[in-house]
Amino acid sequence: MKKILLVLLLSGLLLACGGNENKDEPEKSLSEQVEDTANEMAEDAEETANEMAEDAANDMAEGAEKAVDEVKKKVGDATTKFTKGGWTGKVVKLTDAITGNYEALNAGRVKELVMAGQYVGFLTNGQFYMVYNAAGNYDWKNLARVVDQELVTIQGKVKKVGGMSIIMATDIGAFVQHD
Amino acid sequence: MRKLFVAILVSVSLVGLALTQVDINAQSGITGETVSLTSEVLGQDGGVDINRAKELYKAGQPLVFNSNGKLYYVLNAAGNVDAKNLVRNAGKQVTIEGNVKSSNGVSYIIATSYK
Repeated sequence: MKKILLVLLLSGLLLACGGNENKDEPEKSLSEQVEDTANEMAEDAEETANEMAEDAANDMAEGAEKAVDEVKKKVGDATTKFTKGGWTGKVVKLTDAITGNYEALNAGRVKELVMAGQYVGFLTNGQFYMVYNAAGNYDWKNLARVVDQELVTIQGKVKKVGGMSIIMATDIGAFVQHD
Repeated sequence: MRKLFVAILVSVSLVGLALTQVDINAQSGITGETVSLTSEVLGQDGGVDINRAKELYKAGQPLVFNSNGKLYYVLNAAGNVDAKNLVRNAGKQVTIEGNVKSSNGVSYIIATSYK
């Protein structure tokens, strides 16, 4: 928007100061021309300032809305869910959860990835979770232990931290079908 | 004299235009800092200096980017977690330019540059 306004302002200025003089009209003195141009610039500046003020007001309103959402989110974060049955899903690489192309992992590969700064987590119901143990450590070791299972069940608490989904796991194991 | 005046006006307008463009580009970045996800999970201050970030990286502990309380995973253009650049830029406010995306509940930045 600002860019367009500036281009328009520039075009206006070029036209205003351009060489298309009307020979029929008496030529204005330099001081008059300067005054005219200054007036035009003042008008344009006022217009731009108004636009900017409007934009700033919109930005502030948007910011306030975001702040309210943030507070709501924090209130929501304070309550973690506990499940008895746990979540069933798969151990996957973070970047695979993003791309949808899943690499077949084994314990050695999980260690290799984590040590290279590539994270491994748990995908269930289309949601990727980083998994922590009760002591609050990133629990990639227990994920590596069950990575070769077709399906994995994790029990524990789910929480959101800064918008990220986290499971505080109390138990990680192979999925067992109960009849 | 008149030509000089016009030239000055044009120059000022062009400089203004260029500055506006710079501002727009800066707004496309996300400013924040490298944090330890584990500390954030534990409700602690996740901020880390470069040495601590290196330690965490070597221990396989996740580093993420905190911008105004929202956490992002940071990926490089190749699609891998950009932990090395998070370590390099730890301990200071940094602006990451790139694309912010979301997939499977994961908010992430595909970083093109760090400033």
